[in-house]
Amino acid sequence: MSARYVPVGWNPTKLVYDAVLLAAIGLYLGGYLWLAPHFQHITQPLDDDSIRMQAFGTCAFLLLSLTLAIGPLARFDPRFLPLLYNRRHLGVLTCAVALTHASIVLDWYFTYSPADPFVALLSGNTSFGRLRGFPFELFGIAALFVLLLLASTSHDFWLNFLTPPMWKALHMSLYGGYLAVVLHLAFGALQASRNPLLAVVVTLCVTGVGALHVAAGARERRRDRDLAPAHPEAPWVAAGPAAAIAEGRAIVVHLPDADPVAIFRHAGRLSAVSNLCAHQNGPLGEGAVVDGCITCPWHGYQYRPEDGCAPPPFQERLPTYRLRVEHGMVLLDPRANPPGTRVEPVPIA
Amino acid sequence: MRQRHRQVHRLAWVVLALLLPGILLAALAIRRSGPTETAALQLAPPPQPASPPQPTPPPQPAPPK
Repeated sequence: MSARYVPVGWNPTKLVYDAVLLAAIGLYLGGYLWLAPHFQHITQPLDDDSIRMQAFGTCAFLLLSLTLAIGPLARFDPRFLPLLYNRRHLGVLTCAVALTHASIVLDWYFTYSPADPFVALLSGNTSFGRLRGFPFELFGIAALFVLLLLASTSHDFWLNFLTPPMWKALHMSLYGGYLAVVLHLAFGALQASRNPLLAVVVTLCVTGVGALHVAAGARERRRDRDLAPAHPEAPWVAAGPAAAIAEGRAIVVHLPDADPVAIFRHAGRLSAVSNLCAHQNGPLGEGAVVDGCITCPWHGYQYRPEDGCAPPPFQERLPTYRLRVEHGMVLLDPRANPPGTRVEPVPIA
Repeated sequence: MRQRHRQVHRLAWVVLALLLPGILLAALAIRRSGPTETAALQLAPPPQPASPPQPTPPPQPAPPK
């Protein structure tokens, strides 16, 4: 939304978000380092470096699971939307914690190796032919590579350079990264640790994140299926009763084989724009009209309801749609107008 | 494009939701049930420095019966 380049557009909300995040990470790491020596098995005493390695490794896994759970959680309950704001900062911090874990591993295991630590890491275990003892380090390296790639492109420069669809596609590689992390844990820490707590926490996180995404996807698919053109005069589709749209809020219409549309009510009149924010494809329909502008719940990007244009000096524009209201029912023409096309808002009554 | 993203996203998570718990179960199944510590290796003592052969002492006379 910024008209000039700034590395990070800091504001008080972002500062509070990052401060809370850093404090939570600090508390977790401090608590782990303090508590872990009291719970280690008598036959497997751990040195300080191994405990540090575990603390940063488990912290990175929990942060990654949280990052992946935020999306579906915010779809089910708007109270999670504040977590979505600055999710990219959470991802970058996750990468930093995972890098710290990797650097401790390299320092601890390969400091006295006659070979280069990176060579030793890659050649130390070549048991590719068996499951037990499989070189799990490779999965960790793959996951770290994905996290580094995503963290380094988590900036609006890359979003604009790659375009939102390409950027989204690139960032979907996080799913592969999560798979690599789970494999790294399954063939590494879970094989070595006798403590059942690790297995329980990892299983809960993995099944929880998976279940949330599947449930959110099923809900979205149901909505798509339930929508059918109800008006005989094709191609207009029935979007629902006008009275169901609260002042300053929107309903979202999921069109088959097309982008969803958000229909906003502002000052007693209705306007329809694409539900996808031009910034990062955020769900505009879950936002509200603030100061006369549709405001994205993710990062606060704003657009005028009547033409989908961001207020000057910003230049983002959204596709708009034609609407009609008949017998209290909102009808939507699913053919999108070019971005920025003005459509006169429709009075409800 | 957005529609395809949503479909890929949904499909990816259906696969992951089945695959990831399966991997964890398999990992727990192959985990050793006994102690994971291996027995400490007994290192051979360092070789003694080479020294000239010592003359063998003459046999002691047998004690008188």
